[in-house]
Amino acid sequence: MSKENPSIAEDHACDLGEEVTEPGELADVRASAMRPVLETPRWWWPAVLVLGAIVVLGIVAWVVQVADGLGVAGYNDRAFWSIYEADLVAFIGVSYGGAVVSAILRITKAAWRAPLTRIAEATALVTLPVGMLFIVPHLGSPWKIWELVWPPYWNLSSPILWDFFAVSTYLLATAVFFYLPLIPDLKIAQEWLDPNRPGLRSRACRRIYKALGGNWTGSAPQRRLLHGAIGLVAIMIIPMAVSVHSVLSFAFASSSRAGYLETIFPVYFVVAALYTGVALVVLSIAACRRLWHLEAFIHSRHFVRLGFVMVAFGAVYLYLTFTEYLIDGYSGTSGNAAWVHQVLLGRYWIPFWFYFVAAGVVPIVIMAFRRTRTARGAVVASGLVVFAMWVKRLVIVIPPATEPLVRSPLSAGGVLAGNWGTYHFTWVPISITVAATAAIPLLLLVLFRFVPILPIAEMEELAGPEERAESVAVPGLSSGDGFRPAAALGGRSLAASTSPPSAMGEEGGR
Amino acid sequence: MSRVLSSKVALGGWIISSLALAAVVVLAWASPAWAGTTTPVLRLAAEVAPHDPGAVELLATLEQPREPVSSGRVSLGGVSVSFSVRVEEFSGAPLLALGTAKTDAAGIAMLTYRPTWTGRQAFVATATNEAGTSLGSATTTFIAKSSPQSFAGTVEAVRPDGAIGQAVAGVLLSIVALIWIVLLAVVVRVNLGLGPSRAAESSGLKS
Repeated sequence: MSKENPSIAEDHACDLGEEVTEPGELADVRASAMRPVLETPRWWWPAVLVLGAIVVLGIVAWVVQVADGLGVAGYNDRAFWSIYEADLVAFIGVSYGGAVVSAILRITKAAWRAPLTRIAEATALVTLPVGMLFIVPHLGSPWKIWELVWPPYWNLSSPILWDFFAVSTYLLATAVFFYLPLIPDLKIAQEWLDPNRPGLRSRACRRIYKALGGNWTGSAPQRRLLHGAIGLVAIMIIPMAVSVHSVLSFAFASSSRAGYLETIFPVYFVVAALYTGVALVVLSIAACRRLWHLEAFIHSRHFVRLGFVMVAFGAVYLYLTFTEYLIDGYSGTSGNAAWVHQVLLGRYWIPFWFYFVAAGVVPIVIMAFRRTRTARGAVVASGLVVFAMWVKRLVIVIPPATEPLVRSPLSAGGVLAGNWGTYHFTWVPISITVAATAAIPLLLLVLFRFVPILPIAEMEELAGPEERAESVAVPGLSSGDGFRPAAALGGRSLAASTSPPSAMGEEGGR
Repeated sequence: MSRVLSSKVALGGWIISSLALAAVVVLAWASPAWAGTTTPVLRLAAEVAPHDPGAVELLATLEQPREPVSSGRVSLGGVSVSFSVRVEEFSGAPLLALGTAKTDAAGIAMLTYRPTWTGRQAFVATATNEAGTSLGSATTTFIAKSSPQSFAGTVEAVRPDGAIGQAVAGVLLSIVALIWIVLLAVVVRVNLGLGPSRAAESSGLKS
């Protein structure tokens, strides 16, 4: 790469410690995209075993909770909602980033999205089911969950029921959004996979490619059909993402507790989801880039741009936080004033101000200065955002749940007379939370053993001359921006791919 | 001069020492623990009830004083022991009375209690003789793991939605169904478009 286009190589020299790719080594998108499918790195099995063991520990913890009750998770009468609700909101939230960012970049025809979309969409796809699973420990009695969503037991007035509808619908949309761009790549993967290659996984791959890849030839009608379908789902998925987290916030906002009863919550939750979602995408892309050596395709510029998107959401979230606490504190009503005091200055001041610094101020500072506005800086900021925003979810969930509702009858204003409840972390919910966290990279590791890690057809298509001209016209990607689609593909055209023969179709391969 | 001063200091020292000794004697007389235990000792234990895992068995045991009193052995039977649990809902963490039991001849009083919440709870037992004099108290903690027994009453039925509520729910369900139909239709349409016949057709058109 550096020999063929030294300026671009310097421009995108990564700062994550990797060497810039040698010419011809990794620049072939097909070879790089298929490497996770075809090769098993030395670290793969140890990583899968360790992550799998953590997941098993979480399952054991859940079994203990089912046997002994929610008390072993630290729940009690006066801390009735806590870590599982925070996990539910946080994990479903982070799943948005991948799908929504990918959808927005597709709709705006941002050419630089090409190497990122597959990883982003895969992250969304694996994170969402993990997040949905938190409803199981949250509800306590798994054998009764079906009553929640099954008529005539269901309660159409309950936000929880609508949570189920919204999240399951969004899961379907995410799966479709992941599947459609995959179709041409499955055809390519089918041709790359040696039909005589032994092994259970190879047989499974062949069946998956054949079943899901259809008869893709890459003809113009097929491409038009596929582009239209992807565009439609991309447009649909954005309002769906907004609606899902709005509905999720209704479970809190439709209650009467101070700290939950907030009209700002739907917007607040949506922005938080996008904020953490983009941060998780950055982390996923950084990990995939390092593990599967995608440095030729994913550059510092990608991280910096995603970092900008992330801190934009972060700034909005800071503003919404300020608004929420200002208005609740200013109103001075007994419950709200006590809750705001406890969060800002009382027993919850440490987690709140940790959020403020780690997810509010530091990421903006990192992305504001040229010296720290790098891939490494974006990754550090993203890690802070993901963890600190999880802490913020705890701050949202726990204080109102532990608020004493007993008011002193001697006080006209109804001053709180009771004590605040306390939630004690125990090994059970921590194990389940850590297991869910481990499940995300585990599922990604497994998923990319079956599907190409890069959107081959999309990258090759965007490297074509017509698309190049089109993408240059997109605002923010003008020539003055110094960014060319070819640069997103590692500085060389990938339309002329090496063996095996192109499966992109007649237009790309012939 | 210095001899006078030193004698005054010595006198002051004697006075202070005497006062301190007197204070110790008074306090020792006032506090049985310091003077030696002359009243029965109360101990409290909490265990899972053997026949009901959801309940806790509070076992208060009154033991003979460590030092014999002049009247001989103290009677341990028939002493009233009141049990209570410390609640944290209110300021000062007051005690919530659970019940009272009389000790048997061995000095044992038992109360079975079903916790109404899970987690760590602090129990307190106080023994009182017939004259109403406290014989001492004891505390213990217990972690209730089993969930309290299921709610025995009848759950209030879901209130039926009003006309507007029904309409809103119907519209929202229709939107959800429509989204599902559109998404599935997209997948079906794409797969039909990629079917063998269409693929051959498009290839033929292209050639």
